[in-house]
Amino acid sequence: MADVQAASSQAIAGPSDWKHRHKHIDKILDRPGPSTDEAFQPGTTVKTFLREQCKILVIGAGGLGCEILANLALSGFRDIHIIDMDTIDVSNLNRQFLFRDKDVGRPKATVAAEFVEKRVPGVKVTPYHGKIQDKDDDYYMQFNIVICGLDSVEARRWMNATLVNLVDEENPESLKPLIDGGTEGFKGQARVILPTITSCYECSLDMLNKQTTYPICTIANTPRLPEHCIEWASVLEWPRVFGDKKLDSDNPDHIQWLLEQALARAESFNITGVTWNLTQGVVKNIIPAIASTNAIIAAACVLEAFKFATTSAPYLNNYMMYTGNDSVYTYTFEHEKRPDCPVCGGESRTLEVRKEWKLEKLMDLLKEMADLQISRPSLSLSGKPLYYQAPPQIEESTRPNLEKELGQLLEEGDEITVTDAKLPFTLGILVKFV
Amino acid sequence: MTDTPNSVASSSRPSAHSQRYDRQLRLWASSGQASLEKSNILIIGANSLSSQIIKNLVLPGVGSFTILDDANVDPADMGVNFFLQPGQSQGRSAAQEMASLLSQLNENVEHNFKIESPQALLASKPGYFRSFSLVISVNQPPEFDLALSDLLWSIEPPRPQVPLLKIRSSGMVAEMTIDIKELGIVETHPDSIIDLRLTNPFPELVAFAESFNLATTDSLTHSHIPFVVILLKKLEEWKAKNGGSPPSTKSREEFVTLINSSRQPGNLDEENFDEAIAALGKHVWRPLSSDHVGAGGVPSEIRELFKDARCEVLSSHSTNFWLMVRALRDFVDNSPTKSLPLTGSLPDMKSLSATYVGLQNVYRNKATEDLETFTRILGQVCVNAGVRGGSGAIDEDEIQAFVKHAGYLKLIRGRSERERRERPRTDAVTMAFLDPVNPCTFQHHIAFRASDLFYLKHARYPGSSRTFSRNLRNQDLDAQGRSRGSKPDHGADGGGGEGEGEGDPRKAKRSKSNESDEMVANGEAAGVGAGSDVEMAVETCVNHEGHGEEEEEEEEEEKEEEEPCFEEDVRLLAKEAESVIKSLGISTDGEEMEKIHDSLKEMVRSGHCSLPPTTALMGGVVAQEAIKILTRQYVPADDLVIYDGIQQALGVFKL
Ligand SMILES: [Zn+2]
Repeated sequence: MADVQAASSQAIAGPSDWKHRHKHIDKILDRPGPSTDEAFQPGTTVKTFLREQCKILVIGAGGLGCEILANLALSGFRDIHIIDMDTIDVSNLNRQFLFRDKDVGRPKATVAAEFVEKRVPGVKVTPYHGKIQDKDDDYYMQFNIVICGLDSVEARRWMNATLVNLVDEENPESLKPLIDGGTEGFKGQARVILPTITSCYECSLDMLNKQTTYPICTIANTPRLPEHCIEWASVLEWPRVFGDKKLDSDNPDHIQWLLEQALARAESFNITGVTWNLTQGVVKNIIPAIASTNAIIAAACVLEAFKFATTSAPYLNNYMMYTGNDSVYTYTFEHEKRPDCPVCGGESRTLEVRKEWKLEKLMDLLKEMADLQISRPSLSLSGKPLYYQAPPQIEESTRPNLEKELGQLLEEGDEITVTDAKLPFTLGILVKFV
Repeated sequence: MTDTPNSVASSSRPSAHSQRYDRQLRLWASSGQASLEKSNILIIGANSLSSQIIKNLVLPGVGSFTILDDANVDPADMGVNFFLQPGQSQGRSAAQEMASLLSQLNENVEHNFKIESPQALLASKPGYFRSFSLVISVNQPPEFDLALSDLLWSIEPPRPQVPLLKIRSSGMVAEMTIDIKELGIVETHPDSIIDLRLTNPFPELVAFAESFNLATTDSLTHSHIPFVVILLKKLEEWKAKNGGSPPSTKSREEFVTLINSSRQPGNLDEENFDEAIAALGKHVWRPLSSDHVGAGGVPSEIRELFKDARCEVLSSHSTNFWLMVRALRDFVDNSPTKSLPLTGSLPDMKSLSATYVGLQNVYRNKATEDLETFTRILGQVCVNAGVRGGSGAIDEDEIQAFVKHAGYLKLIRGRSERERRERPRTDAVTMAFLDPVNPCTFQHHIAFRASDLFYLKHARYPGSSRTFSRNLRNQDLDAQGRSRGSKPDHGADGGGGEGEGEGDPRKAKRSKSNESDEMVANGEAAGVGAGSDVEMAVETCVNHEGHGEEEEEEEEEEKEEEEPCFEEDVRLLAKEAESVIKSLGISTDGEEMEKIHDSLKEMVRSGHCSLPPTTALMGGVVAQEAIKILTRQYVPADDLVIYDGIQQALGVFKL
């Protein structure tokens, strides 16, 4: 054994490098392939950029994030930054492979960074345990590429809008490729967004699956499914009993309480199927997640980042959908930019309404639009509130407008300004009476 | 057949086990998890690609895995393998190091390694390979894969078959072939298993519908008539007016008008009527145009199963799947409407709580009755077949799952590696180049096959040196000797130069202590400095020009550890591709050739190197397919999967 150790220490030139370390990847970087762009500069130039200059940001250190981090490090990226606001939960361990039982409760970004730095010597991973919204334009400007591995629509919309707004035509460095991955069970997608040039995240919002919602009158009056009973417990009973106390879906005592209420209600309506599992699933809106799908989508994202950093192969233009439940299937296509996209499009959006409609109807219409994904819009006209959700005084003073007809409030061609907590921008809508 | 009751067990807090696996239990449930935890997987080849595969099997909690490989950690592989630890792993057995680091991902998983040459083990102890639930062969020589496939394919019942997955990657491209003799899948997880029997109602359902009055003047009652009842009544009304025949798809609009005529004027709260119209396609028009498929009718794929010899001729060795298929056939034959058993699932619909629960009970009671009948028939089938355990041979849960999915069963009957090679389905190849939707990926399979032939002749992969190629394969000396010996064209390769240049040091490579030294030496000789490689390769190209074949070989021998000449390797690989192209029946004057030639170039460029994103992606795909096969849930790919990272596309071909 002593001989083995001695011999191997010769092979390892230093803690962070050893002979043949890059042998595999260098094959791709030493010569172009048939589809490689002419701009590709094989050898030293591309290797130096990848390993010494390129700075990459990863958003999310969850199922996708762990895969992305480890894979970027192995692929030769040396300056990696990671943002995540979560701490580790035991239910993460079936796929988030940089975490162990002993790490439960610690920040994901920190633990992931430590692990990757240890396993891949010479790689610097800078963690930030917090929100993407904490960082400003200058912060985002320092990166060459951004990869998103998130499960939150809201955070992605924010990141997308931020990177689109960052683009300054005078400064080519301001255009940061955004690579976005997402998974759900055996399905997922990976896409490449060149802010202002290709279709952006906002352009494709209508492709999202509509979240299951249950009408409040069903929940209150005619429950039929176990889910209705659980929603009743969390949406109606909890606030009635506990007032302002916030429901914490991670607190097992809270889930227990909801379960008991839901069970009692289910019993009185002869409904079966209320379980702990279902209660937790409904309350937390749990999306199934497995290691293999995350590996696939994360890898596709990292390969795209590698292509951007090295120009060794053409990048994805611009969307790949993956399904693995019935055989294996991908659909690769170009998602078209929307001319009236509120983030990257130049054209403003027109909404056809009738004069006799009440403002409330317009509000409902906005809430139903799949490509907007908003739930509590506030409306104003030339800086004057039409209806504001908050603060309470303004909500109260503008509430009577909801009952007024649009013909009274607006004129043809008026531009209403829509804001919503879920919108990372203000949206202008041109009124057209029909 | 009922949903989970509000029992004490299901309302208690989850165990640590179900907390850890919560996100996957929502996909394959505890039955799938139990199958996974019983499985015992062999992975042949300890390398960066296999480590990505194993990771995705350990995380969800397979029972045990064993890595088989006799090689030590290759410093080049350590640069791209996340489950080797620099500063610790070098100089050690790759299988042992990987097993140890991977086992840290999940302490419930048993990890093993076997430091032996796969080739030697296959020759000396073939029984070893038959003792696993699944075998995954990663980056192994094609001769070995073929021998292994032959061995596993020859297993006959009652011994359980052992599916084999064979995987390799090169740069941004990878492929997997799956050998499954036969896999009957019950829980295919279709989008919906709802079967409302509207076009083919059973008496209790008819009676339930009759208790409603569409002409009621009470608006609350009217707004809460379930859409199922609306459609049943309207179908009856139509038949009464049309001499007993149901509406055809041609009379779609008229039937919609008939439904709408029962809406209550002025009642704005009539979503139940909207639901009725929305349900027409799935629950009325489809069954009416396909012999009631979706409403109890037997789909054509299930009819095929009924005709299968394994359904016809049962024995004590018959699998549960075939015993139940036979019972299903008998059930349908005995059914007055020739229907499948009812699933009993009901979607949510606008209705009052009590009405909904009442309707649900109508479906559930019928489903329970069907389940009982099916179980009785199955018991008889098992007894007649002489199955051990007799009428109670099959577990209740398994029967329940089968009955629920009776309309959605799937049978996979794959091919062996030998069949694929000797009798490829050339029609599938033709189709592969004609996909109107997705980028074509099949050319890469041709490149991989050509690359195999190239290896047999030149003892290295196109675009890669011999040392690099051999480390990829972890090839043992015997197999190495064979591949040399089988080199038909040029004697030069086996000539004097070989003994001096590589014979002894290569042997030494197998004894662990010398490996690293050799690697250093080779690296220096080759001048691995960035940039210089490319120039040198160009130089070599120039040197080659005008030389005869024999001389080329000699030159190759002398400068063995240099990067081979790109153009030359492309030419040689194209030559090997010719026979592959011919055997697959591809025309040589079409657009296919351009794609193939590009793929060959890319193959030479990458020289079978492991690119981390590609291995990670394949690691996901392979583990996913393994999980589907082991849990017998969802539908695995059949039987060749190709990944093209340049175009970001996966293709599946039944070769
Ligand atoms: Zn856009």
